[in-house]
Amino acid sequence: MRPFDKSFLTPTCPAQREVGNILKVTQLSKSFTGLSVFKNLNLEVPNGVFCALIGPSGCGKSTFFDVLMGVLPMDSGEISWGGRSVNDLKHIAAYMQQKDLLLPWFSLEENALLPAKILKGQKKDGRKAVRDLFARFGLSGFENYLPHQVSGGMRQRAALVRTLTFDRELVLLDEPLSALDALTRSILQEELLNLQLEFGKTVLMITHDVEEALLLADDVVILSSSPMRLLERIHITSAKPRRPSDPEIGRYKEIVLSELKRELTVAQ
Amino acid sequence: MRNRSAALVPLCAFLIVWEVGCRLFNVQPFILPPPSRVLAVSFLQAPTLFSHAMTTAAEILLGLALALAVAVPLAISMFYHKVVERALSPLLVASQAIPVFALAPLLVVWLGYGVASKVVMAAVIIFFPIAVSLLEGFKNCDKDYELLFNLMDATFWQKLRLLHWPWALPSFFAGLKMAVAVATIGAVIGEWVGAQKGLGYLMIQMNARLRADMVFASILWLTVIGMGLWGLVGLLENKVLYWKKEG
Ligand SMILES: Nc1ncnc2c1ncn2[C@@H]1O[C@H](COP(=O)(O)OP(=O)(O)OP(=O)(O)O)[C@@H](O)[C@H]1O
Ligand SMILES: [Mg+2]
Repeated sequence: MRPFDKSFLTPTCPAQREVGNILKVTQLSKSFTGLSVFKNLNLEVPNGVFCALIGPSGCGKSTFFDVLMGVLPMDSGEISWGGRSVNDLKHIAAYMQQKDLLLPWFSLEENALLPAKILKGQKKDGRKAVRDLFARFGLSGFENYLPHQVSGGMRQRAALVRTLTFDRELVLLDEPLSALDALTRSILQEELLNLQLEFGKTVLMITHDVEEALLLADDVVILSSSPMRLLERIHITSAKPRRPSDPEIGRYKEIVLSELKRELTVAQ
Repeated sequence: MRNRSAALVPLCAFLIVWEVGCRLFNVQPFILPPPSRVLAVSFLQAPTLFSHAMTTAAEILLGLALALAVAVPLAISMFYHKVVERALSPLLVASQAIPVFALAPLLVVWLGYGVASKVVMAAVIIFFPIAVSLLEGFKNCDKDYELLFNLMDATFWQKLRLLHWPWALPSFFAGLKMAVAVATIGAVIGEWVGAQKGLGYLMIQMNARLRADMVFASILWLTVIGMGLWGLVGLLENKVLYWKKEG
């Protein structure tokens, strides 16, 4: 594995970690005209925890992230970070949306450098860090390609790099690996895990892939179809990196799948 | 390329009918010269035509430059603040209701027979399409991209430089292409009203002397200038919009 410039993604400093910047969502509600997407939702994610969110398509996961980020206004509820109530996580979290949202006139590298160009206090030597992340994510040699010249999977990876170059303690990922083939996906899963372990970031990741959730997450949250509720929260203690062939993973997979199935039959 | 050469077929047919018609019916050249004669005069009188063409081309280019210098800041300031847009857009729309060509005689009185009145004439009629196309381009920007920039707390100017300006370029170029064509008309009308040089001036002079062949030759040169400018804008567009998907 290539050496990685760690200074770029500042590890959460130990003092902060002791305080424990817990993300706490209390009684959060959101509805669109006539459609209640979620009501009185509660979620707590401790510092440094990798939390995967799984739920049926259209249940409101992306909307949940949008509300957390302040992209959409909440109807009611409270979001707090490190014990302090905040309006949204705009200045706390890096957010990778479901769409890649790469600027078509910039190369992949320039796209990944966008946060460095805009954010004040962002480290100046962003280019090297981006190159390193590109190497880790299998994008070396494609730095100067335009988004429309590469595959959807590559665009998604470039968008992931862009998100990771945000200097933030909390990372929200909306199906970050959905457009990837199985092999690239498993490589990227490993890289995501390494990054999270190295820098101790708190990660919330939406995924449709049960195995992915079980391999990466400390906590797997199963969500119901709309209105979205927390059905189950599974804490997985087995050490990382995990393998799909681990018997424990297999066991959890059974549980999660049967839970999801039950939810679907109840919904129908 | 194939499509373009297809356009040559009706054009050639038209020219042949014109040529044959003139000869067959013995049309007086001061009424309607055959295309062969127009072509010949265009070359034989090239030095004269060229010096007039340079004046007209300069007027068009300066008119474009002036229009851009007004339209771009105007579009940006209207985009910057809704209040500015609300204050200015009715005026802009109203300004389009004025038959600007009717102002040509006044412009000549105010600015003289020289180049200035034609430059202003051209600029006045084209700054509006340029400003509108740019503003529409800014405003058409995808909301999701704007959110991405807002999440990073990008300033207005950062967003303008990195997002809205490139986003608006295709629309801006559409406006600019239209402007180039219209600017030619503006400059020529300016010259008709009163000038000392230029292809429009030459047309009026030659018309009075019953030199229809020279009038047509002037039109031919104007067409070439117009197409040349159009082509230049097209080249620039391809260069600037390198990121547009092919096809
Ligand atoms: N702007 C909007 N206005 C009205 N309804 C919306 C809006 N955005 C989303 N919805 C609705 O809210 C529900 C939740 O959508 P959301 O995109 O959050 O689902 P999701 O869980 O992310 O789905 P997927 O897994 O397919 O990405 C859907 O029924 C959708 O139709
Ligand atoms: Mg979604």
